[in-house]
Amino acid sequence: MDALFLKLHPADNVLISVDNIPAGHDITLDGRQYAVVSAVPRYFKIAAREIRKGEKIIKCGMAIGVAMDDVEVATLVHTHNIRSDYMDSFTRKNEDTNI
Amino acid sequence: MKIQTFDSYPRKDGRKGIRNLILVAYTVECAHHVAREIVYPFRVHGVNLIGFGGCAPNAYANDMMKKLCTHPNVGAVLLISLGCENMDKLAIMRQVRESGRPVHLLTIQKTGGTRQTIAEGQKWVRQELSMLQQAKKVAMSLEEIIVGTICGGSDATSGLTANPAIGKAFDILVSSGATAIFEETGELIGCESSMCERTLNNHVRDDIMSTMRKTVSYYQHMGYSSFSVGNSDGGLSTIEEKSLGAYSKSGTAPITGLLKPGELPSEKGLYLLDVIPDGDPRFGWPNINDNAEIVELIACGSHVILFSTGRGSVVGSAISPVIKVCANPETYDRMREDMDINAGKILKGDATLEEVGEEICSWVYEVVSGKQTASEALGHQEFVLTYKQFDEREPACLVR
Repeated sequence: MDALFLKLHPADNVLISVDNIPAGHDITLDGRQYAVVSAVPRYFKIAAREIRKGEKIIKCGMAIGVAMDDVEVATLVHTHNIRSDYMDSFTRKNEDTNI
Repeated sequence: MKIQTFDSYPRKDGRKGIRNLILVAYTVECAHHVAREIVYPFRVHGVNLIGFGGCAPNAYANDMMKKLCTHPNVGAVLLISLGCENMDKLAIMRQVRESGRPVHLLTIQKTGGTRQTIAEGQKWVRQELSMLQQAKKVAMSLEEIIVGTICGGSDATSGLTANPAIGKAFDILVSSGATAIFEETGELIGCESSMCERTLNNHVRDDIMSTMRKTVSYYQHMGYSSFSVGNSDGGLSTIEEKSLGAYSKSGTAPITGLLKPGELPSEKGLYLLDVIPDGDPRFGWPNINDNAEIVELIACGSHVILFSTGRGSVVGSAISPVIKVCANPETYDRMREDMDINAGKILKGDATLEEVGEEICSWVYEVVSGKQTASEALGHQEFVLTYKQFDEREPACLVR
């Protein structure tokens, strides 16, 4: 683990950043080293392990949505690759929310 | 937590208030200016303004006005009517009078216009203020307190610091015998199975499941969930993620029951307030802003409100003190005068969730004992009441 990321619950498959993390930042997860794929703004999420398309995203031990694509380890997890199981999140039209 | 007592104002219905306010209530927007002018010279002396803007009748608004005007923190009520609106001002006046409180109605069309009504209103307020200063006080314990909680202007820190710290405070308060209310069913979507696991019987479980089904359906009609662009910019991705942050305010105590706006808890414990209207969506968004939710928590008897904010809300309320728990350390530094508690220090490693939970409880104790919150000291008295609709429930179904 890394002091810049929080795992809020043992069952979680995402980590929360506590600072702005530049792309390429090294992070050690389960004894293996990864480079963060793209910049991660403070308080955003990255995948703590590989997440398969259709798999639930778990934060604080609870499902917060489902992966729309396969998500590699240490990749930003946000509205571009996960969706609600209930209803769409409102985003401004034609505006890329992929940070 | 050690149970101590503090001074309070006894009411005829057995409840006790932690403030002794005069409410000036306008019964239609057309009477708003006159009511505000009456309040103005007394605004820092415990005379607060509330009102309903609509002219067309609405059972919910009538009922809420009755509940709010007889809230334990209220000592006297002045109703300001234009004269031709439909709010049932006589029924409100009767209810306030039966509650043992001084009440007076001024109808602008009868009194003779703006200036005359302002003069008569201020004369009544002045006289009642001196009466209230002689009010009898009695001892009240924390076990008699009802605490409500809400989050607003949330960001990703809300669910990491202030909300779970409020959850810790709720656990302490509920185990001390106080009553606690959490709300905003629209921001609990995704938490229904967890809530059901915390219920003590099937009635409450069924109530929660049916209210959450209603909630999802309501928001589907509205086209969107209660998830804003700001939430996404702050790092939240879905309504469920926003919900679980909000849900952590409720702590871990068993859920005693479900309330609708204006219903009082029938026993001690932790309650969920269902703020989503019943029936087909009719009057638009369930709550147009945080203040409308605070008003509903107050109508359920909340003496004090714990308000968690990340981006930085400044609001207070006209009836019950609002304690601001700031989730984000940068926001706290920028807006310190509006905040009571800095929960963001958890992120800096300067305190634990448990420590901030205890700090919140100490604040509750001091505020119910008379200490002013930041929003009280700054003169905030936000109030919003809108059109809504709820099915009437049999009194029997409120008692479990």
